Formats: sequence, C-alpha cells, structure tokens
Amino acid sequence: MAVSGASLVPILLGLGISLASAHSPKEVECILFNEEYMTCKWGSGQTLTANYSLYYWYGNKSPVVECQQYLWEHSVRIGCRFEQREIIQFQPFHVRVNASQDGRTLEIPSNCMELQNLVKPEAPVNLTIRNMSSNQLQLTWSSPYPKAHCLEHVVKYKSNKDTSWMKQEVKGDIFSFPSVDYEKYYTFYVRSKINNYCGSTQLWSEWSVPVFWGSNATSKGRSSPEPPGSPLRLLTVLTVSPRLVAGMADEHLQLFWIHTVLIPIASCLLLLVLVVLLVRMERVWVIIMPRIPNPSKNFDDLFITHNGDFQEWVGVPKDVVESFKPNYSESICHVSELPYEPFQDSSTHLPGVPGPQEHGPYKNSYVGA
Amino acid sequence: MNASMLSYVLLSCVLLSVQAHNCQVSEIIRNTRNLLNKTQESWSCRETAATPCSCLPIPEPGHELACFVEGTKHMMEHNMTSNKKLFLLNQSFQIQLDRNLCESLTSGKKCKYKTKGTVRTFLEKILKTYQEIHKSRV
Repeated sequence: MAVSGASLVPILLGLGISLASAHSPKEVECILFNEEYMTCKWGSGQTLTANYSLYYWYGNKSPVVECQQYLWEHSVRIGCRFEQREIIQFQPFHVRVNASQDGRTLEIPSNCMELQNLVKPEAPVNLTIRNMSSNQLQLTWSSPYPKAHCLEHVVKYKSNKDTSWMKQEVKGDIFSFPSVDYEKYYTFYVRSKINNYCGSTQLWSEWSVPVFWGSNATSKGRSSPEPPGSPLRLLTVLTVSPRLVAGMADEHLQLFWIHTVLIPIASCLLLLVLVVLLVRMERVWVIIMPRIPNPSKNFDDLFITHNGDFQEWVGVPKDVVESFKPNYSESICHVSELPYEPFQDSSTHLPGVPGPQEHGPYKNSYVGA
Repeated sequence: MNASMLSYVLLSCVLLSVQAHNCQVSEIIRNTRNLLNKTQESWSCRETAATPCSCLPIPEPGHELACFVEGTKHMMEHNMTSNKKLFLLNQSFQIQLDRNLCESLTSGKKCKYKTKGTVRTFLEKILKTYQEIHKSRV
C-alpha cells in the first residue's frame, strides 16, 4: 500500500503541473483604444484561477509601477486598464505579470512593447453620400481619432445584385464611386488603421455603421442610415414604389431614344463631316488616291541644263569621251578614169585584150579614198 | 542639353533646395520600411569576432542623426546591401545633420550610443524616430 501510494504522488504532481500549464495565460496582450485608454489582458476568468498582479515601466530607468485599475472577470484579475496619462508612446514599454497561488509565484512572460504599434482607432462616423455629376457618388466620413494624417481607410461596398464585397483602400477621407447604377441599392462600410507614417500596426478599427444608396432609400436616391430590416425602410419602399416604377419607365424611354436614335444620327453626321473634310483636304486625298506618276521632271536636267547631251547628263568622264574621237587624219585620194578615145590603128590591138573603152564598165571618173 | 531642359533642371534644383528647408520624414520612412522588408531576404548575419552582428549604433536621445549617418555609412562600406535606398537614406541624414533641419535629432553632432544593434534593430530605431516626428505634427 505504501509503495502504491508513493508511486501515485509523482503522477499527481505531473497532472497538477500539466493542468496548471493548460490554464495559465501565455502572454500579455495590450491594445490602445483610440489613444484614449489601454487594456493589457492575460486571459479570461473561465480559465484563470490564480491571483495576478501587473507591474510596468518604460525604458530602463523609469520606476516600476503597479497597475492602478485591474480588469476583473469571475472574481479573477484578467487585465489592467491604463488611462491616457499613464501611456507613453515611442518608449519601450515593459510589463511583468506575476501569478501567485498557494504560496507559489509564477511570472508570465512579456516582450518589450512599442505602444504606437498597438493603437486601434475608433470606427469612422458620419458617413455621408453626395450625388456628384455624371453618375458619380462621393462618400465622406469623419474619424474620432484625433490625428487624421495618421490614418488610412478601407471602404467596403456592394450592391443588392452583387454576391461579394468590393474593398478599396483610401488615403484621405473621401471615396469617389465612379459609375453608380440608379437601379441598384448600394451599401457602404468604412474602417480605419494607423498608417505606416505613424506606426507599424495591423490593428484595424471596427467597421462603421453602414450607409445606403439606391432606389430603395428615397425617390431622389439620397443616402440613408437605416438598417436593412427596419420598418421605416419597408414603409418607404411600399409608398415609393408606384412612383418609382413610373419614373423608371420614363427613364427607360429616354435611354431608348438616346441609344437608338440620337447616337446613330450623331455618329452618321460626324462621319459625313469627316468624309467631306477628307475629300477637300488635298494633302489627305493625295495619300488615298495617288496621282499617275509623271517622270518627265526627272529628265528636265537633261534637256534644259545639258542641252540634250546624254553623255554629259549621264556623267561619262571627259577622257572617255575623248578616247572615242580618232587621233589620226587621212588625206583624200582622188581616183579618176582617163577619158575614152576611139582606136584608129588595128595592127597594134592584141587579141583577147579588150579595147580601152569598148568593154570597160566605167565610163566616168570617180573619187576614191 | 538644350535650353528647355536646362530650365527644367534649374527649376528642379530650386524646388529641391526650397523643399530641403524642413525636416523631411515621409521619404525616410518609406525607404526605411523598404529596407526592413528586405532584411530577412538578403542580409544573413554571420557572427564572428571580427564582424559581430550587432555592429550599428543605437543612439542616445539628441544624437540620432549623427548615429544614423555613421550607421548607414558603415552599412554601405561593408556592402550590407547594394540597395540604392540605403544611399538615399545616408544622403538625407547627412543633409539634415549639416543643415540642422530636424532640431530634436541634432543636439549632438557626434554619435553617442550606449548599445549596438543588428541591422534590423538599427533600421527599426530610424523608423521609430521619424514616425514619432510625423505623428507629433499637426
């Protein structure tokens, strides 16, 4: 029995330690709410049972101070609230939480924090929609956070015919919605965060109260802050809808005339004007309808400048031209035939030898070279 | 360079010189964030006796600019990064120090520090310093 009792003790101790570790808080989480107050929490009352104390200090030299205002849940301290005068940003913030139970004290680990990176601004308020020209809406809002130049925003919106939300980041406090459809019903939300120029945080504010725009709000389409399921909104829909239908029919007729008559006529007129201008502008016409080429201009130089001298116009070198000219001369050789005289003495005529004038084919003299 | 380009360059110089008469924080914050985002990717620190990882001065109040100039210069000399933004940061700090543009950061012309930090801690100190200036502005 003693042996079995002794063996149970380490088992029970191990169980106790594991239980304690299962319910002990892991770390301290601090959030600055709109830079007005801060809460640092280390758990919830459902899991914690020990007696907790929080101490804090800034940098390395400031005194260690105990929390002045604890947060309680189920009679257990679960956090500490810091007022604005106790908050210093851009200084290393150290926190130590001690948990004591049954005479034992445990320290909950906490890293050094930079409070400017733990700011969570309040949600934007006073969301207002204005109808600008050319189907454009302008959404504006204001923020309870005192430093507007430290904020960036995100607008979330969709219409009653969309299935998913659209999100758009906005640096200032104005969002322009470029092309609104008057037949749709839009819902807009806005939330804020400290931008990179004032801190390094991922803590977004809560979404603002929504604002609505579209045919379900009023006959003129003004913004309305009523939530979707309110009786006032339903009544507005019921009373407005017959007028709304008539208004929509007129609008459709107008759109029909614009799209099917006015725009085609205007396009045709514009086309006609362009064609007329095209025809009358010779510079453009020549490109479309080129003239028949007249190469005579290319030969003006030959006939005017060089007087038809093809060799000069072509550019034959003068020494080549000279080389074709003969560099020798020949005297003219005159060749003539003696005049014909009748033969008087027959004894001197040899047989087979014709007489000088009887059979000779040439009777006149000729000039030979 | 023709006349129009010359006038453009001259006008830009005039505008830049006018702009540099106050403590510019936005560009420094942007460049520092850019370098911080790249710290994990390209800067692996191998600690040795000769080249400790904690080698950049974490300044005491009032000596920030002098230490920022020294620290960024050290980073450039040791090729801690080839990022152009580091050079721009060094230039900005040098100008602000020389012209005494950010008075709260230039009470001391020489760098005074108690501890040295890694590249990340050094850049975070720069970021925090200028975020504080920007946030305190109306």
